[in-house]
Amino acid sequence: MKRAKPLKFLERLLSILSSSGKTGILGDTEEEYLGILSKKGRFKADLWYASQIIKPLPFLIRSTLAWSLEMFKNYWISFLRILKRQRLYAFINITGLAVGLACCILIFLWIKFELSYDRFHENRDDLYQVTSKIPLPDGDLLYFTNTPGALAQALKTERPEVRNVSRLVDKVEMMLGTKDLRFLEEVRFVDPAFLEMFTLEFIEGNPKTALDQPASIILTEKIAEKYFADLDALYQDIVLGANTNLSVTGIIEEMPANSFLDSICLVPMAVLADLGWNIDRWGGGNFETYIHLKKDANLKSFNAQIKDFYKSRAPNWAPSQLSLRPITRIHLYGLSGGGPIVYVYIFSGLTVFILLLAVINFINLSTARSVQRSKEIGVRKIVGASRQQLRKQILMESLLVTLFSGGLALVISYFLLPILSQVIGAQISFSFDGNSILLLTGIIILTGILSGIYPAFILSAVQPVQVYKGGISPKQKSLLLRKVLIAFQFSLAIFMLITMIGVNKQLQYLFTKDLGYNRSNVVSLGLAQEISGKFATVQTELMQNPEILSVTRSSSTMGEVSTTTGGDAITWEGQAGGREMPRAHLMRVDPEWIETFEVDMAAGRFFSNEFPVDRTESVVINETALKTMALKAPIGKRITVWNRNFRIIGVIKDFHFYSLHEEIQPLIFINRYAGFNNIFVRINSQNLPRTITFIQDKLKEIAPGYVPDLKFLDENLQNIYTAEQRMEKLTKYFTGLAIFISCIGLLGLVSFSARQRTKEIAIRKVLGASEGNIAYQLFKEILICVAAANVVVYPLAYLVLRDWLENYAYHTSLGLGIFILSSALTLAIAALSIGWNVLKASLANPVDSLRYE
Amino acid sequence: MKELTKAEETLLLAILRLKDNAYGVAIKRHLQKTTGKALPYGTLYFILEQLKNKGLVKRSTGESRPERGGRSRIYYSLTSQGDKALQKAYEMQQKIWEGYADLIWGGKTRT
Repeated sequence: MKRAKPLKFLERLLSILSSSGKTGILGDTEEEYLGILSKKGRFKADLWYASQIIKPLPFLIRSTLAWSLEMFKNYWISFLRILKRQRLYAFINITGLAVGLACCILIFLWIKFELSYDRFHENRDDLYQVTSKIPLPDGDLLYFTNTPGALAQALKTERPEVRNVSRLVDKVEMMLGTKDLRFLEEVRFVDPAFLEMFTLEFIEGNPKTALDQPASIILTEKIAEKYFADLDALYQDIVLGANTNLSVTGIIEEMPANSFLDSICLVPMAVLADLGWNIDRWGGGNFETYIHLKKDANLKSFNAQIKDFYKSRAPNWAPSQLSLRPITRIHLYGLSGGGPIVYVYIFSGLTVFILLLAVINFINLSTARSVQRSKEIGVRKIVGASRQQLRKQILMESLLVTLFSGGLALVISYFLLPILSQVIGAQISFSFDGNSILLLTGIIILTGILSGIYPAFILSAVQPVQVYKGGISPKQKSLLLRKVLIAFQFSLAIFMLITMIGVNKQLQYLFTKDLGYNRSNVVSLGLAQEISGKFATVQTELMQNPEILSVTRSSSTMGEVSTTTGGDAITWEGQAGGREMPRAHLMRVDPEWIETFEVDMAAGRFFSNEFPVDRTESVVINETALKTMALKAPIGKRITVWNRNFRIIGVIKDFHFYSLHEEIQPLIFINRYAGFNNIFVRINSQNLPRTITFIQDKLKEIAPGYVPDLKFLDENLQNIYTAEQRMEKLTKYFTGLAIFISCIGLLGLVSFSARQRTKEIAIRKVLGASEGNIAYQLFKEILICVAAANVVVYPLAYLVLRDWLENYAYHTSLGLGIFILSSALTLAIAALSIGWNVLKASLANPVDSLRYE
Repeated sequence: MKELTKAEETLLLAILRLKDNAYGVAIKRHLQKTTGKALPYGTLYFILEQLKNKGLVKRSTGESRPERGGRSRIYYSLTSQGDKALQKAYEMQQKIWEGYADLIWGGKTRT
């Protein structure tokens, strides 16, 4: 059947143009449409119909804009009037929104900073880091970025997609300086191609050739200034380590803070070879490998091809599978999941919460005020304002309030940025580009609309007749909604409070838990080349001081035991069929280790200098290892690690050598000289400063030019939990803000309702109600809301906290105390914030109140 | 009261002329005849609505018709305010145009 009607969607468009005269315009156009249809055909008719909509558009736009401007003037005036006359109302709304938006701006700046990591490298899209993963016998995956030195060149020669490669050995602590002035500095060893791949800002020197000569070094600006002051550092001599002479071939600006590469000096890989490293072999794994892929390379297929790259080339690396990850992800995403991206999500969520609280304040106060404003609305209606116009007006008011708050937020965030920078631990700059401005403006406008839309509908519905017949009473429905919103607001605040207390409690737990060894009064220092050969001297010299209790070496410090093995690599005498040790940690230590850390033995003995055989044939295992091996009488049993035979001479009590995130795992102590990385010194707690100075002086005496870097073990251990500390601080700030915004909202509401109920209160008093009764009446409503919020939020907060605590193998318990404490706190804060108003209302003299007309 | 715009004036006059037959299609045709310009419906109804909001015209619903897809004709007529506005506009026009014919045909030269 042929269509004898205009197109449906065109009809719909036309009816939008004239909403009230719909029947008229649709009828008219259809009538004429049919005429044209019969004379000129369908196409012409449709064209004509469309022209009826399109042609008027410029005219319509012009006329509506002119009207809007006119109306806007009016809205602006009424907005200013509100600011002037309703000070408390305006103050609460503007403060709440400004604080919320300031939060938004700050978090936005921080997220922008996090996302900007390593985006400044010109080749950022084609630069990758080689990562490896090994499936462990216990089912876990072990991720790492270490590769053997030979990998880089092999990848470049064998894979056509590779444009450039560079190895990197990062943050090697070495003595560095001129002949007269030397300090311990961190140095980065790279291949010359590194300069072509990564973007470094050269102040002096040729960026293309700076690392071509094997005896060259690139200094950062700061280091150059430190050693050469005002002199031109280029082509000056630098001595690295004991006696490696280098020439300064370049000076670079400091690396930006938003890079995974720290700002340190660069030295060509060849120097490392001179220092005795075999840098081109398949064994060992002290190198990171970076790859610059060609533009047209396909990452997926490349990853598939290099997955088993080790198999035919490096049998001892064979279990690890290779893949590439973009350098722009290195900072943001942890290798095995997690990373700062998690915090980006958490704090974006919290910011939305805070903003929501401010929006709720706005909604609550506006609807509460609808009774007061009803007269204005009534007059506007009588004079001829339509509902739509009123809605527009109220929406416009809320937009103006948010815009104003947005401006204020900008100022607030400017002053709070240093605090955020400090908590985050990075300098964030107060700068916005075009897109950020657009986004933030969008957020501000959205906030304005969100807070204005509901009041717009409520207020515009006021019936003028009712207003002048004797005032209106607020509808039951909107009262209920207000209570629900208050309850919701406080749920958020309580939720954050509970989380904050929970996180804090766990942090205290982490810092004070008995780790199975004595962590206080132990000083640690890295075993630098300068003193590694003279350790015997160091030990005897230091032990001269009666304040020093013991001196020992170890391959790893507490919190980061680096050598792990497991599966086939470990077998033992009396091993039951099918039983194996999936993962075991190896720690190389001196006999004095046990005195330094004060761990008890469960059975047998620890290493001793009296038994030279300990150096080659003895191991000590921990209780967990023993449990895994399921041996009844372990002492004297043979154990084979990496094809080397040992005898178990003792079992040491379990202690936490990792962070408390993880359960205690099997640990095997070996007493060997090679592979020590740290020195630990236990000192008497008396005269700490003097003892520290003594150690420093002695070390300088033994190794002239060496600057020891002493750290306290317990402080070092706290650094393992930087992420937790940061989270604790930020939740503290956010919780404070949430409670503040909720409370000022409450304050506003109560002051309104007390004023509204002035007469009611007076009459109650006249009839014999006491001040206490009145106060109770006013408190009751709000406190019931807050109490209800508590109950709703308990299970949720419990689940979230429990989930978070499960990240830790060892964690604090979630007692009822946390919940009771936070409930009591919120109730007290809520009561306090409304107390003044309640007091004022209940003490008011009924005579004054009733006469106030 | 604000002055009428030219378009409003023309429309009010058209409604006045058409008397009982002043509905959309007729108004549009009439305007086309007198001014020579085809006013699209979108514009026509926008102005009609403004006139109505200002209280210069009122609407009444007629009988429903098959050729309009079963919709009724909507007739427009002037309110007393509309009458007054037209009156005022006419007086003003006269004042503005006063002496125009003399100037053109009277042969007097202007300096």
